Order: sequence, then C-alpha cells, then structure tokens
Amino acid sequence: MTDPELIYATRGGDERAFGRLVERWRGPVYNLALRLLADTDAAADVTQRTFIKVHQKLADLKAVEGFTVWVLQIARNQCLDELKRVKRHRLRAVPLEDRHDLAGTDSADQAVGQALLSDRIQAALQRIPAEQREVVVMKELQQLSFPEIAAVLTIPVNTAKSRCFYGLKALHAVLMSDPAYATIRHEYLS
Amino acid sequence: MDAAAGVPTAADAHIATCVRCRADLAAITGTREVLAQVRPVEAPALDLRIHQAPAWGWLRMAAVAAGFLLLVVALAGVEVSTTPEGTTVRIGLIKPPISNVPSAALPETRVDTVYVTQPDMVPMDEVKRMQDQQLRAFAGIVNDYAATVEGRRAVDYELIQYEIEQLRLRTDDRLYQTNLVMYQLLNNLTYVPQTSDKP
Repeated sequence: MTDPELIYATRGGDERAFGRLVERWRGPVYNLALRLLADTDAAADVTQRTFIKVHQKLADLKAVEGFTVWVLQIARNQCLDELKRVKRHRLRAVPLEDRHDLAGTDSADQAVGQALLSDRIQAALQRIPAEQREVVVMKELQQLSFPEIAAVLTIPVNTAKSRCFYGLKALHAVLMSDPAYATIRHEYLS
Repeated sequence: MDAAAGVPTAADAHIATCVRCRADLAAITGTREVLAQVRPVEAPALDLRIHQAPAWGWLRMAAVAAGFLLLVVALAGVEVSTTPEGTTVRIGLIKPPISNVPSAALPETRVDTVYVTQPDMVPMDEVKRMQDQQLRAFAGIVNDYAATVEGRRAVDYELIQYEIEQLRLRTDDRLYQTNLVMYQLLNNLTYVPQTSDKP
C-alpha cells in the first residue's frame, strides 16, 4: 500500500494502517532526529512525539501526496523544540554500544572503523552551522531531493543548494582538522 | 560533464582552469563519499499510546485556583456592606469603589476604619436591646405572614364548600330528572306475555 492509501485507511479508523505508516517512516524520522540532536534518547523521544503529532493532525493533512515533506517538517520542528528545551551546546556523541549501523560490513575491523568514522562525522556535523547541517543531513543521509528539502524547510530551492554546498565544504574543513578522522581512515578504511 | 551527451560543459571547462573551484569540487565530492558510508541507524520501537490527562486533573487545578482566589480575597480584606443606597464591596488595599456618602466621610484605608469606629462602639446592653427589637420585629413579620396565610386558607375552604354544595345540588337534580324519566317510561310500558312465561 502507498502512503496515501495508508493515510486514507487510518482516517477511516484502521489503526493497523497507521502502524504500517509508522513502521515505514520511523527510520527516516529517527535518523534525522539523531543527526540533528546527536542524542539517541532525545532522538527516540522526538520520533515518538512526531508520530503522536502525526496521528493527531493526520485528519488535517490536505495534500496526502506531500506526506513525506509534512512528516519531516513535524520531525524537524520537534527537533528544534528539543534543542530549545535542552539548550544543548556541547556535543554528545552516540555511544558505540547503542549503534545499529554496522550491518552489512565485511569484517570486524571494518565494522569498528565504520562505527568510529560515523562518530567522527556525527561530531563534525555538530560543528557546522545548524541551517547547513539540516540540509546536508537531508540531502546526503536522507537522500531527499532539493525541492523536497526546500519544501520541508520552507526556503527557496537555490537557498537549499547553497546551504548544502557551504555545509559540505564546512564539513570537509572540520573533518580535515580532526586528527582522529585521518587515523581512522588510514587504519581501518584505506 | 554532461553525462548524457558525453561532452564537457561550461562548468567543466571552468573547473579545468580554476584551481579554487577544483579544490572545492574535490572537497565536496570527498565529503559526499564519506557521508555515503554512514548507514542509517535502526530506530527503536515506539510506544504510541497517547496518554490523556485524567479528568480529575482539571478538578485539582480548579480546586487550586479556588484556593488561590480565597487566599487573595482573605489577604485583600474584602468587606461587603449593605446600605439603603445599595451594596458596597470594599477592599482593604484600595479605596472604596462607589458610594453615595461624601468621600470625606469615608476612611482611606482599613486601618483608618478601625481608628474611626473604635471610639463610637455601642454598649452591650444597647446591643441587646437592639437585638430584642430586631427579634420582635421579625416575630411580628412572621405572625403577620401566618395570619395572612390562615385568612387565605379560610377563604379557600369556604370556596371549596360552596363548590361541593353546588355539585351536590346539580347531581341531585340530575338524579331526580333521571328517576322521573324512568318512572314515565315504566308507566307507559305494556306487559306482553311471552311463551316462555307460560307455566
């Protein structure tokens, strides 16, 4: 079933359809929250709040085809609320034991290297401006198109492209200045 | 590079000659390759049960609000007095709001009120006399009311008696008429013997 079909079914009172919608979108929402907040617990909370909000407001969604943009907008707003609430300025790295992004790696060394690399990237993402970070995350990690990103952030498409360019450039500079990043690349992933 | 056509674009031509743009492109391409290695993290299970605030939560809030209001009223020293000119609500912290009495006669604050009224306090026997007078006046009102009610009851009783008598007379009259008709009918009847009556 497509998203619009699941939305219509949910509106008709089919809670299982909503469950399928959640199952389909909880990954992207959680990953967006995790990359923007750099905190697994906060990301889980934001994901939960996002879907509660989605459930409450689903009847008000007029253009069901725009569900992708709508749900990510809600998730982003929840992230901004969370950042305001906690006033998080310091970096909080994702603990290694909580990581689930090691699947599909060939060897233990490579798995460890990839986890460490992910940590360095996560750390670097927190050091670039927030407005560039969210565009980079949506474009490179969420695989959204520039028009979709522009719709989520309610900015012009060219602004989204510009922020992505400067974000990637800033991220490169941060990674290059991180000695741990160079070591990890050299020892595990070369 | 225009991939579809396989020919260099104007951008490619510029990058080939511009060191700065070439460096930027390399940085962006390299960063994108690194980001591509980051795999999505598996989201934890969600508990989407929507918790609603219990109804008694509102009651508790209302009770707290009412308590707060009472506290404010108590602290403010609200004083309600009824005069022939009307009811006046006076709060100790502010001036009296509306009064027909000239403002000079009214105290400015609650403290002034105490100061002005204390020397003119009425003796206890005078208070008792006034209370007795009020009780007697009240008893008179009650007695007057009882007499009025009793009078109304007597009038109502007489009216009911009258109605009953009228009803009885009308009934007797109808009964008399009915008897009369029956009597006439019986007198006019002639007896026709039936076969079954034969012995």
